[in-house]
Amino acid sequence: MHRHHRRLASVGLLLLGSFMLLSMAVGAGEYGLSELFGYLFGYLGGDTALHSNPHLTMILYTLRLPRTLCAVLVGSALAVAATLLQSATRNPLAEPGLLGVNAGAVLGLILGLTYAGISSSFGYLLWSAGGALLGNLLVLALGSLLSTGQPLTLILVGVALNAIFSGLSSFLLLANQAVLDQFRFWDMGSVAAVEMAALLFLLPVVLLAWLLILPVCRSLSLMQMGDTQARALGVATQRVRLIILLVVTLLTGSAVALAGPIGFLGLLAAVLARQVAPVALGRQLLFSALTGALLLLVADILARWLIQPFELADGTLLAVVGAPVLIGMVWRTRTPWLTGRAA
Amino acid sequence: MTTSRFIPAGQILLRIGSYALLLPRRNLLLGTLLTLLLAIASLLALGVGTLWLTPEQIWNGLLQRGPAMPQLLIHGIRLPRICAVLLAGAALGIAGCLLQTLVRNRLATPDMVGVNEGAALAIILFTIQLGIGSWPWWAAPLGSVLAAAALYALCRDPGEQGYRFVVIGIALSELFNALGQLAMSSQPLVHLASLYLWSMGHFAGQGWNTLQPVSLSLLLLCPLLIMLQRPLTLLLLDPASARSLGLMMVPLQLSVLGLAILTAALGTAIGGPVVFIAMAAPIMATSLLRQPGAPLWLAALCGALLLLGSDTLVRLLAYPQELPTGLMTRLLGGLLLLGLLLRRRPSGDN
Repeated sequence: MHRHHRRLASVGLLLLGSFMLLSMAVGAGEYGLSELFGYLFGYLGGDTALHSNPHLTMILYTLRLPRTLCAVLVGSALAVAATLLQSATRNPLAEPGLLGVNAGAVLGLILGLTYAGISSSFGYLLWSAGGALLGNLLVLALGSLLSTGQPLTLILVGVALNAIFSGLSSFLLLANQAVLDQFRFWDMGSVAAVEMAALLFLLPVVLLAWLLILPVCRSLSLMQMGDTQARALGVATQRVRLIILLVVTLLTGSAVALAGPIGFLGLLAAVLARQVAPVALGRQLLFSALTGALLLLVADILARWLIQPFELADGTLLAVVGAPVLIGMVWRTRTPWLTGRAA
Repeated sequence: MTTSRFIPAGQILLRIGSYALLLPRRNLLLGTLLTLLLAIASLLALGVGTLWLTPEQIWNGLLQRGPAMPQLLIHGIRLPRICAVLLAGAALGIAGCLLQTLVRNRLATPDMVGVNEGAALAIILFTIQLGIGSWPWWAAPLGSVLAAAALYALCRDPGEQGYRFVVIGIALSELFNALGQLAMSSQPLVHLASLYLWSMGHFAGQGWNTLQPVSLSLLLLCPLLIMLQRPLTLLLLDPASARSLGLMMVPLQLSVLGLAILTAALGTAIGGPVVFIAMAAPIMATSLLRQPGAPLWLAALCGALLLLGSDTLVRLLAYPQELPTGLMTRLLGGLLLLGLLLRRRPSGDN
C-alpha cells in the first residue's frame, strides 16, 4: 500500500472513531459528551455513579449505540455494493439506490410483511435480499439488453424500476394498513429505530459478503479492461459476475432491512474512493467502505442535530448532498459515451 | 375548376366567408372520439366510490334534483375532484408535448426533468410558511421557473438526443424532492398529512377555490398555445430546415419552453407532482394518430383521459382507503418507461 494511502486510511479510521463517540453523545436526551466520557471512564476512576443512572444506560445502550453501529455497518455495506456495481457494469453512475436495487429490497420486505407475516431478523433479511436480487437481476438484464456501456440508459432503466417498485410497495403498504407515519420515515432511509438484535444478526452476513469478494477482487480489476481481454487473461468472467451479484444482493438486502433505502450514499462514497485510489480495486473497496461509514455517520449526527427536537431522515439529507454530485458528474464529463451515443 | 383538386388527402376544407381552413380528418375524428370517451369516463367516475350511484342518480344529482345525499356527494366531493383531475391531466399533457417536441426526446418531460418537482417544492415551502388555510397555487409557476432556470444553467448543451438534459433533470428532481421532504420533516406530521399526500400526487379535497384561478390562468395561456401550434410542427424538422423555412429559432424555443413551464406548473399546483402523465399523453396521442407531431389539444385530451383513468382506478382498487393518485401513475408510468427504453434499443446507429 502506498504511504499516502496508509496515512489516509489511518486518518479515516481516526475520524470514524471520533465521530462514533460524537454520535453516542448527540441526541434529544440531555446527555452530552461529558456524561459519555464520565460513563466510559467511570471504571478507571472508580466512579460508578453514572452507571447507576438507568436513564442514561438505556439511552446509550438501546438508542445511541445501535444506531451508531448501524450507521457504520449500513454505510460501508451500501458503499461497497455501489463500488462493486460500478465495476461490474463499468458505469461510474451505478449505485443501488439509483438503479432500483434498494427499491427492490423494500418491495421484497413489504411483500414479506404483508403476505408472509415475517417477524424474525432472518425473515427480514431473506425477503429483502430476495427483493434486492430481483432488482439486481432486472437492472443488469435490462442494462445488457439495451446497450453495453451507456451509463445514462442504465440510469433511465433505474428510474423506471424505481418507479415500479416504489409504486407497488407504497400501494401494498398504504392499502393494507394505515401506517403512513412509520412508513414515511423508514422509507426515506433512517438508522434511528434499529434494534441491537437485528444488528448482531446482520453483522456476520455483511462480513461474509466481504469475505466473498476477496478472492475475486483481482479478477474484477482485470475485468475493467473489458470482458474479452479479461477472458484472454484467464478470468472466468461469468463466475466473477455471479459472485458480485450475490455480494451486492446480500449487502443491499441487509442494509435495507436495517435502515430502509438510503440513496446516493453509495454514489458519493464510490466517487470519493475513486479519487483516492483510482486504479486498485481492492483499495477502492476499502476506502469506499470507510467513506460510506463516515458519510452515513455524519449524516445521522446532522439529522439528529439540525432541527432538534425533530429528526430528519438520513436518506433525505444524503440526497440533498448526493444529487448535486450526480449533476456535477454528468455535467463535467464530456466524453461521447455520456451523451447517449455509443461512439 | 373545383376546389377539391387542391385539398390534400385526408383533409377537410372548411370555408367561412373568404377564409378557408384545412382540417385533417383523422385528427377531428380522434378528437371527437376522445371527447366522447372522456365524457363517458367522467360520468362513470362520478358514480364510483364508497357509495355507488346509479346513472339516474348521477343525472338527477348533476341537475340538482332529487334527494340531497347524491347531490352533496356529486357537487361537494366528486365533481370538483374529477374537474381537478381533468384540468391537471390536460395541462400536463400539453406541457409534456411542448417539452418533448422542443428537446426532441420522448423522455424530456416536465416531471422527469424536475420542473414539476420545483413547482411542488415552492408550494410546500409557501404552505409551511403561510400556515394552514390558504393554498398557494400561485407559488407553483415561481418554483418551476426557478427549476427550469437551474436546469438551463446546468445544461446548455443538451447532448446527443437530449440524454444529458434528461439525466441532469432527474438528479435535479431528486434534489427538489429531498428538499421538500426536508422542509416537511421540520413540522409535526399531524399538520402535514394532507400536504404529504399531495406531494405524492393526490386529488382528494381540491375545491373550486383552487380550480377557478388555475383554470382561468390556463385559459389565458390558450391563445398563445394556439398561436404556437403551427411553428411547433416545424420544430419536428431538424433545426436547419426549420430555420430555412423562416422560423426564428431562439424566440420560438424560448416561448415554447416558457409555456411548457407555466402549464406544467399550473397542472402541478392542483394535484401535486403527478409523474409520467406528461410523458404518456403525447405518446398516446401520436400512436393514435399514427404520425409524428400530435397537436397539443390531442395531447391534452389524452392527458386528461389517462389521469382520469388512473384516478378512478386508484379509487376503485384502494377502496376503503384513500391512496394518492401519483402512486398509480408511477406504477403505470414506470412500465411505460421500460417499454419505451426497450423499444428504442440501439439498432446500430441509434
